[in-house]
Amino acid sequence: MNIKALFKALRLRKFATTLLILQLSLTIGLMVNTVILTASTIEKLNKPLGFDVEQLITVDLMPTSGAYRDTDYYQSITQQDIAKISAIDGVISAAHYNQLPIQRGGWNGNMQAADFPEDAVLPVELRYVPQFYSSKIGLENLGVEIIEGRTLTDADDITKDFYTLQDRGKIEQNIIITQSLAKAIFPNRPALGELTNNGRVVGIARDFTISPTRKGIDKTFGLFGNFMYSQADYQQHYVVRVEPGKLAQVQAQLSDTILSVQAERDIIRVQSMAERLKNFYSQDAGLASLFGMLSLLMIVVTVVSSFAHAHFHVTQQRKFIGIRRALGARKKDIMLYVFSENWLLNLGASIVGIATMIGLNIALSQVITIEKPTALLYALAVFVVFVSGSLATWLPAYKTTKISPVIATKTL
Amino acid sequence: MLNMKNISRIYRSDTIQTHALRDFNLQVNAGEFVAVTGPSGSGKSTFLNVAGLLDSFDQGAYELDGVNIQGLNDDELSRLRNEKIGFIFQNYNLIPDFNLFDNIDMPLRYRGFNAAERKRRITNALEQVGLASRANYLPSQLSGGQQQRVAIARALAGEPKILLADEPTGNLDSLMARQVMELLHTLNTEGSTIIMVTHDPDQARAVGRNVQVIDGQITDHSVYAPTHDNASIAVKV
Amino acid sequence: MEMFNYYLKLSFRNLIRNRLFFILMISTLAVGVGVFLANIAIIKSMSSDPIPYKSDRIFNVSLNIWSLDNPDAELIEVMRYNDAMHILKNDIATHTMVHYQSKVYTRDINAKSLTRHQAIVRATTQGFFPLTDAPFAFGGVWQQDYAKQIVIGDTFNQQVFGGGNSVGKTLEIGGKPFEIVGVLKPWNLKPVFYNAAFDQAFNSTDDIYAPIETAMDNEWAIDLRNMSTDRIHSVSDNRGKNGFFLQAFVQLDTLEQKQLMQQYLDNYSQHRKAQGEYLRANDNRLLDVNEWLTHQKVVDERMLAFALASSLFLAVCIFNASSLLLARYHSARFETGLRRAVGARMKDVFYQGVVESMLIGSCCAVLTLLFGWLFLQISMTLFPALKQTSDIDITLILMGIGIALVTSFISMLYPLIRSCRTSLSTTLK
Repeated sequence: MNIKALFKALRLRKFATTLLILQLSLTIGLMVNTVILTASTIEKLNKPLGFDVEQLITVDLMPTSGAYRDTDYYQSITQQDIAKISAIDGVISAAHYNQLPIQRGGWNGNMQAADFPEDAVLPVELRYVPQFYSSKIGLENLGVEIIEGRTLTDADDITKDFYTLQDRGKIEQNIIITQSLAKAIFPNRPALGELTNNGRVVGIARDFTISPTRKGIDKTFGLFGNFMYSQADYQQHYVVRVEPGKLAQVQAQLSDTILSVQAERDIIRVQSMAERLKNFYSQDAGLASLFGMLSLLMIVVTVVSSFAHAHFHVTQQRKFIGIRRALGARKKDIMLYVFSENWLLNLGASIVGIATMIGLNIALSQVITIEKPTALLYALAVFVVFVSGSLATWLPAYKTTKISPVIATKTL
Repeated sequence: MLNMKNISRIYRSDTIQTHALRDFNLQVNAGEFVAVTGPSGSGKSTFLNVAGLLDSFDQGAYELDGVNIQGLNDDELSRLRNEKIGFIFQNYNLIPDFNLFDNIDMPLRYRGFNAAERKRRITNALEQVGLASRANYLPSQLSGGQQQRVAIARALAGEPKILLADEPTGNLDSLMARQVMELLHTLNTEGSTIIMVTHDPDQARAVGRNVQVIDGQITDHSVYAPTHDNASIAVKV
Repeated sequence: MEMFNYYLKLSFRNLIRNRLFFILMISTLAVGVGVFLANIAIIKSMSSDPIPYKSDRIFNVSLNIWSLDNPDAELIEVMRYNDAMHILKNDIATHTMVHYQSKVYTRDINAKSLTRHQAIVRATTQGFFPLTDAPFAFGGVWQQDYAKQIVIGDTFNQQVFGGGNSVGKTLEIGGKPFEIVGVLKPWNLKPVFYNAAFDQAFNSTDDIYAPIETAMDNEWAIDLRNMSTDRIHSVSDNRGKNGFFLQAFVQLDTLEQKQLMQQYLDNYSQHRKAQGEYLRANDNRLLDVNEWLTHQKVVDERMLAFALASSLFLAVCIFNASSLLLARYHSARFETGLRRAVGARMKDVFYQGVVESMLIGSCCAVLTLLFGWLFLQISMTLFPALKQTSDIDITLILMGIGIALVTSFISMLYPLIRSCRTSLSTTLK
């Protein structure tokens, strides 16, 4: 194989060669970044969250009638709802929640030790700690284990006090907080039994993912109290824990079950926790799909170009190929010649591709969160471009074998 | 009509300079039929390219129909080619998917003639070469000799001052070649100036004036029909 | 003109003769432009000016009053009831409005059906209507701050009353009657600038507009940020407390007004500081509509990321078309050479190429619009949130055609120059 001759042939077509190399390298760059986006979306979806996602169904609902402004009425309906849901075949337990894990925004507040000095600055991650209010089984229902202290009991229920006492500031509730939160509030001492601005810590729960979009340790921060929040203007949430395999069956009955208790409610959403997670990341998945579509199109265009390039080359070199054949080159020598031109281009493109890959990654990181490319992804993209380029070259290369050596003796 | 003095054309590659034409002198007067002969590589193709304004030259002076070629830009050269020169190529160079009419029409378009004028000229030219009835044929439907006659018609339609023919019968068998040559002779007697490059000594002998190119220079002025005195040309230039 | 027709004819012939080649070339180019166009469509409508004739005179008011965070943190967009009342009661601005968003369930009080409709409520002040130029179809705004009177939007009017003049009708909300005093015409505001702060810039305009005091008295829910020192027991309990939930916009028609307002705001926060509140390092901020939308990053970052990728793709498609055309011109150089030999000037050859590229561009434009529409549908399927933002209008179609023509020309340019420069003496031998 005469590499020098190859280079010379490519140099004669500087423009076309440069364009193709640029094209291939852009394809490599886009493909790598697409795979990064897709992989990180898949990773987010598959990362263990630390609670029983697979077994849970969530319901978001809101009262539509003014009658629910009567807190007692509202609470009695909620209790009936929970009782009726719990009785459905396949349901292990059910509970009401003021908000759900896996969300943006929500009911957050600052958390600090009761003796936190007034002039000290509270770390930023302790300023927006999600506060969950549910029944005593709220954590157990989600499948979260208490690792220290005790679970909440009926005695911890502050609902009555909250809606009857004039000065709510006097209520001192008992709370369970997550492990990481305990460590953040009380870095130097055990948290159990300590008082915070939001109540006394009676139990510590194993960490689980509550706010997936948060970047730091506060992903797993959460506070749990025993309280039935009954404000008619805000969404209420139920979580239903179901026996394995009965999820769909229970999910289908939930709406009717709830409305059969009292119809003046808007059932905004009934979805499994897994669906909820998927919807939560749907924007990321959407972007990854868009990039995927573009990568695919880019490969198609690249195949077209590689084909055209090789085809053009073969047409142009017809006579010379004939002469080579006349001088004793075998068919496969000629095919190899055509292929090696494509491979040489790919080699060039894979070198330029490093730059486009990193360049695009940097440019994308200006607008969205994206991880850095890895050598493996790069190798993979180069391989894909290499294979599709070779496939596209096959037809023109095969055509060269049809060129008769007789052509060499013709004058035109 | 055509006057070349001390023309040089040098092709340069990385290391080698080739003098395709060297101190080339030729004068052709109106109404002449000149045959240019010479072995391969002698420079006769280069001469034809330069004469036809397809290629430039490095030194010397070239005057075509009273116009000095030196320093003309591409537009002016194109104009001259279109108005003053009719080309006849060895391989006809017809556009395969244009019919005869459109093939002959092509150069007339660039002259800016209106449709009626173009049609008149095309019909005339086709009549001149005896193919008037086949205006809608494609070149592939014609024999080689007919194709070459179409090419001649295309050259004639522009009513050029000079016809440049490059081995016009090179691809034709002897019968067809004779027909084409007869056509050229007729055109010549009707007043066309023709320069024809050929390697066929018989053809060369049959025309008015014979010029031989060897090694980029005119080495022999064999004038078979005494029309001009070459010495006087040199003095005139 | 005659030459143009001649070239057009030649180009048509050329396209038809090499149809497979041109179909391949034009469709790859059109896919590239189509993706690009779909993306432009989305970004264009996301970044459009909702109220162009006075967007530079409407300002969001962000006060330096929230003290909980570290001193150099960004200003927050919401303010307390008392802050809002101060801004509302000064006479500097031409129009002032404060608002919060709520949601209620409601029904026509005379309807037989007990079904309630969910309605998005804009709890606001009278200034809302002249400031946003909300178009009234019937009636007008409420006249008293505490009136149990409301204005409804067109969509909601259709939904509940089947359209028509509903002024004088009554809605039941939370068991209480509210009289309709105004009905709006269909009102499209993209983005809904006054609602941009909570990722809702591309929602439709609201169902019900109600006086703020009425909404609060009836406990219509709010999204609240508060400081821990205060206990707020209900929505109506927010008056005089440290609950942050109101946004303010002002219309300032002159520079003088703007300076006066800035001065007023600065004095106001200084006054609060004197009363013992902590202040941040930032100044009080007046951002006009477009500055405000930029600040709120209403253009989806994912779409910007995709814009980057789709422009690269467009480049690849142009490269592809260009190298295909180069090959094509290379094989057509005999004809070009012949034309040159019979007297075509470079200009003529170039002109012919331009005509051909315009023809290719036109074919490409048609396909581009088709692909563009297709990719827009795909984008909307992948991002349901985009449904509101991506409308196809005449400017967009013209843009698509323009981009298609220009890219065709760009793709054609180098191959064409090459073909014009072809050495004459070699091609014809």
